[in-house]
Amino acid sequence: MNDIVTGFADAAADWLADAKAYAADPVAALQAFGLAQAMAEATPAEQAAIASAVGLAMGEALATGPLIEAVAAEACGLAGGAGATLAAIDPQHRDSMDDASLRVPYADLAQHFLVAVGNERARSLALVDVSVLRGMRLVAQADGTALGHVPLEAPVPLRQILGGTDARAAAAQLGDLLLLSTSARLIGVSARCLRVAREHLGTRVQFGKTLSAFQVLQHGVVDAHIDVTLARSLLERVVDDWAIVAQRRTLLMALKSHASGAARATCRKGVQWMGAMGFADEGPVSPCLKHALVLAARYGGEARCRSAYRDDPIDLFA
Amino acid sequence: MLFSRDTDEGRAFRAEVRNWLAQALPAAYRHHLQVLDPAILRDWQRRLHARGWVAPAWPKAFGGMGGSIDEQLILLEELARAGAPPVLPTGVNLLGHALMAFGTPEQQARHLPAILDGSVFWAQGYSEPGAGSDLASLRTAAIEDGDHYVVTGEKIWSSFAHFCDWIFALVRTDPDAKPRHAGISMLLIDLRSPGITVRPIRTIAGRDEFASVVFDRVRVPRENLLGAKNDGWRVANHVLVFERLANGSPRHALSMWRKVRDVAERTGVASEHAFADRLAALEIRLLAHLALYRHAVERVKHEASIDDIAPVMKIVSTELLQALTELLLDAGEPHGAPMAFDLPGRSLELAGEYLLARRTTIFGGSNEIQRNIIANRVLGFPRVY
Ligand SMILES: Cc1cc2nc3c(=O)[nH]c(=O)nc-3n(C[C@H](O)[C@H](O)[C@H](O)COP(=O)(O)OP(=O)(O)OC[C@H]3O[C@@H](n4cnc5c(N)ncnc54)[C@H](O)[C@@H]3O)c2cc1C
Repeated sequence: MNDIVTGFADAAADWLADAKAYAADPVAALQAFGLAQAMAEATPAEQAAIASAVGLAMGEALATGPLIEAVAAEACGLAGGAGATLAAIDPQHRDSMDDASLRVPYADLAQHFLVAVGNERARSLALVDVSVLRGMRLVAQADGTALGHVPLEAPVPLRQILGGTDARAAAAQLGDLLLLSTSARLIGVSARCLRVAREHLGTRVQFGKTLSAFQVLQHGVVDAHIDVTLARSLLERVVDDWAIVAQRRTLLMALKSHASGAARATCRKGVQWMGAMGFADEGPVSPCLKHALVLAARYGGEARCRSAYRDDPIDLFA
Repeated sequence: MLFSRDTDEGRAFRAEVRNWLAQALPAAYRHHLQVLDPAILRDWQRRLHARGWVAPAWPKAFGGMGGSIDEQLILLEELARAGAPPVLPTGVNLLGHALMAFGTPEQQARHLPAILDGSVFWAQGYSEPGAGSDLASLRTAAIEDGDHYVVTGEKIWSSFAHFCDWIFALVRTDPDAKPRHAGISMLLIDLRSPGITVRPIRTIAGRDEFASVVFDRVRVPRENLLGAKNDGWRVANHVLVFERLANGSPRHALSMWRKVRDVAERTGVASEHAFADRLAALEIRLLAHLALYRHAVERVKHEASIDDIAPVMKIVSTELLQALTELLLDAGEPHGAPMAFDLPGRSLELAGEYLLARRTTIFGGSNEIQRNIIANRVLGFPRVY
């Protein structure tokens, strides 16, 4: 694992021990973790490493909240414009704000949304003041967070913070970092689920021996371990090759697709390995599965990212 | 290298290998499903040997290429890309390393040069009718008689034994040893010795690839013991880290992916949504495997252990290959399941590719055994095998 990733993953794991408090206030977290400064000083490749480290640690801690969104905005030099209120991002590109709807994770925590507006030729990044939005519906998510759904029926006042080529580049960078760190979160969640399941299988006794002595269970865990190992390797590769811009999006689509599928499968199996305790809400695996469901669907799920990967003309095996 | 960028030296070496292959590898030898004709195998090995490239992982002192890890991998990749016949792995990859580590100077001087130039082909005699995955239960007996061992028993599934000259065999020299593997020794046996019967066995892919070797009171000189008596288990398990890397390499899956793509484009199946989606799913897994492999290569370069990922790579590479052969059949489906499918400049054995790939999850430690190993040694679960 890339040194920066390891270093930040360890540090972030400590910080996130108090995950709930930070989740509600990502800007405070940015300051407390020194992330704002680290991001501002880092090269793009280092930013990717840091973002994935934070993602891994968040996933492992089952932390929620728009921390990686804040980190990504910081990396793109956008958080300054957002002041202390930035909390949520909708990176989907849209032609205008009139004919689309906003879907923003953690919308209930935000005072402003950061949105990308425009088409390939003209794009800008803009802030939307939540207080002027009409008709926002908070859609409760499986992990207890909220997705804001805003039907944009009437023109919405925007405050442009970046325009022209700068905005195009920043929007792309923002989207890339979100795909990367959300994938990392999924891998962190999967790793946590595997850890918890292994502990359980190693201690729970049935038929006179621990469950971990049954080969059918062993092989199931091994298969999940393999999927997560592959996802982690792909994450490292994307980070290591961050500077190769031409292939970055294609690789990210592959990563997000694989990480989403692996996390859902691992956590779903984790529920089964725990028996009724897996099905119980108070059990340690059920929150993993719920997190996996939400994160797998965010910024493009397994199938959608696979389509995007497929439609990309870049041949990574050339 | 696969999914990574060559260094300047690597690029130069790759070009050198490509140029050499372009003129040294006859067109008639390229891209066969399997090459089991000893005349072709020997001729190809002779050419590679003359160039010094038969044994990439052997040190120069023993006549090997003695290259860096990068060079070794580049050579493997380029040989695969050109569709070259294999060098029989039993001699170069398995016995050769064991001889270098455990052989006497006399044994090394006698056998290593003949392994390199291909004048002696070696078979591996481990499996028996009653001892497969549980190899330590093997029973072929070697009883001391003066300065000889007298060997009686049967080895089976011995690759290429019907056209090999010698066999390295695990034999039981102590029937009462506990644990069982403590009573096993490694013997080097001339297959022309009196009392040996070799019967080729046809595989599902329609070739005589392996054989049964029956030993009926075969006399083997004591000097042919490799390593110490009753230490054969250690000798047999001396697999070089490079071989473990090579065994988990994605190069076979990558080459199968190219075949799938070529066939699907030719038949038009490539444009079908369901097919394209399944292929994309396997491509993504292949990308992840390439990433894991690159990580393993880095570890080997830094002399770090790959014990935890070698069995993962074996499972992923072989199951990916097999999954791709499913798509190969689907890609060729408008033509049925043909034995021959014509592509520009070459012919592909469609059904044969599928059938042959079945072996990869069985040999070299079956995938179930690899899963047992990961469960026990990596995840710390109780040993149940
Ligand atoms: C093409 C090919 C070439 C070969 N070449 C050689 C050679 O040159 N020399 C040589 O000595 N051998 C060779 N072999 C034999 C090979 O090593 C054995 O096939 C292998 O060790 C498995 O043994 P088996 O075939 O007896 O299967 P078995 O051990 O009988 O296994 C049958 C099935 O049960 C599974 N199984 C067995 N034990 C367990 C367990 N504890 N837990 C879960 N599942 C289990 C296996 O995975 C397999 O799926 C070759 C095999 C093939 C296919």
